[in-house]
Amino acid sequence: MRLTTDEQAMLNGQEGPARKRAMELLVEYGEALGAESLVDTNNVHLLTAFHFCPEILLNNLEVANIDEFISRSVLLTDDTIVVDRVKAFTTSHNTTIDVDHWDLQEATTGHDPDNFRDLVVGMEKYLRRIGVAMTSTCCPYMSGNLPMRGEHCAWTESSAIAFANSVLGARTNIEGDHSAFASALTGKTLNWGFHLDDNRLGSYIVHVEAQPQAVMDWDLLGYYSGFAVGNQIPVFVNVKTAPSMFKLMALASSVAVTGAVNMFHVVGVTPEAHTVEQATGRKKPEGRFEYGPEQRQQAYARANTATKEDVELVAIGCPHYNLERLGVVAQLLENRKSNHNVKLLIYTSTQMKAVAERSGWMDVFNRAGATVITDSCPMHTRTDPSSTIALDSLKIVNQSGGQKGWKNVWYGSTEDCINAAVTGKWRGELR
Amino acid sequence: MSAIVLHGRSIYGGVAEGEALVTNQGIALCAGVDPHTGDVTERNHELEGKNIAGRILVFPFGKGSSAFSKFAYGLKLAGNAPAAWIIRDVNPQTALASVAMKIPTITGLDQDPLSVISTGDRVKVDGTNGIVEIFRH
Repeated sequence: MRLTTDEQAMLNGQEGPARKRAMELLVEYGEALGAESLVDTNNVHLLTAFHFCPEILLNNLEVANIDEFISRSVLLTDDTIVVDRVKAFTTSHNTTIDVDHWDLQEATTGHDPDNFRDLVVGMEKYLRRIGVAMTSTCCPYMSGNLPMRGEHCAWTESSAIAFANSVLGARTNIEGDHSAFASALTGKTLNWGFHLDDNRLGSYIVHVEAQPQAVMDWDLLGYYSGFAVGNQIPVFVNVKTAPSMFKLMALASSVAVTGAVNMFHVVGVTPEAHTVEQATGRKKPEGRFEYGPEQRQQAYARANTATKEDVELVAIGCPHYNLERLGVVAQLLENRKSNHNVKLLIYTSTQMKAVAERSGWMDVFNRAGATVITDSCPMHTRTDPSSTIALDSLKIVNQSGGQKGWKNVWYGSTEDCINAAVTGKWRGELR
Repeated sequence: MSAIVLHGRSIYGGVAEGEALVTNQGIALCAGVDPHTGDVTERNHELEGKNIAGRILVFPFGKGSSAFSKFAYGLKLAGNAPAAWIIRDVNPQTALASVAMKIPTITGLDQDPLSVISTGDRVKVDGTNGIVEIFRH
């Protein structure tokens, strides 16, 4: 890899041990991928959440010393490195658990260790100390970090990455905790993958016959397509109605987890796809398929695994609900109450919650017996994995099956989920 | 016993030998593999229920959540990482995970590893020199 003078200086340790170690990691990672150079970035979205069985970390690492913990688990070194401050503008992903609703959540099925709370709180203190903006959301673009077209970013969170590349025209690869932290410390990311024009071209045509209208339709389109295209860049053609923000958030979130899709094009909608020719760069696509009513039905059937109509948990808000979605839910819950057998949880960011409060929606949620949770994810809801759960996000359907062992899941629209919360019965269907 | 030899590009050095576990489908480490056990947990995945710990995992690409490298680190810490892995199309998730797990890793082989290697084959991965040896009775 060719390094510039300032990059070489960091690698040599002239800016201290933290930037030196971060640069070593970037070089190691870049050489693994075959990257030839680095590019400046001043936009990092950093994952530090503990959403896998935290006892593995707690049992094997010293967590009382946060600098030591970060050095081992993120900087991957046995030396204890004290980080002073991030170099790039950096926002935070979810902190894992909403500390105001600890009893409703867990990182893993069963019991989180007692000292897990100390770790979550300690990590937030650490991030503040090193100058991270505590957005604590999976959707930085709606919480104060909206990258511009062409801006080089180093982001974590697969849904946000797909949204940034595809909808915003910003440029980011799918970074993990380790590489995003290295980028935050150095202000550099690999000049590779989606940072380069040629790698952003669509490679797989999805002819959209079943026109997506509702949020759920976009979610289903993404869920089906991710499985179908694998690691290609899908180009959705024949979409006749321009989608809203949350519809594209739904598409980005489901297509990214069922496939290795970090970028897509919707011809006539997304900025690098005014035409099919622009989206593909006139290159011959690797393949194509039709997405019709049958494919939509298959996706819906695959997602639904429950059999009992009595619902015990409704967990909605993935990706974190934006204001439009929170407003819809407030309207649906006006003068209604959730059933006494059902727990209703609504996930969003702290920033959106503040607006919901000021808009009077929090009063509606409170009166309805719904709980609004921030800093976290529907998948962290504490529940018996065999309980009957209603979800309106295929990302959560996909992830909770694999990670939490949730076996009895109803998937449907937000309206279906709210109705289930109010009546206690699942009545959703594919309309 | 004869050996088939493949040459590729080294992603991470070191040498490991073990039993191959091969899939044609992308692997998600976050929400696809239980770091406590190494079991593949993704519903309907062709490896669902199989265990990757200590195996030579042969797969086309990494997919899913960006927490891939975090889960890789967790797998390693819990002693459930693969002994080595062979990646047909290396991508950011798998490259970073190789660095986090520090396991022998090879990509860009001169033949498609998914068709040459079968589950159960004895495989030696020399990550340092980019050499894969497949032993079959």
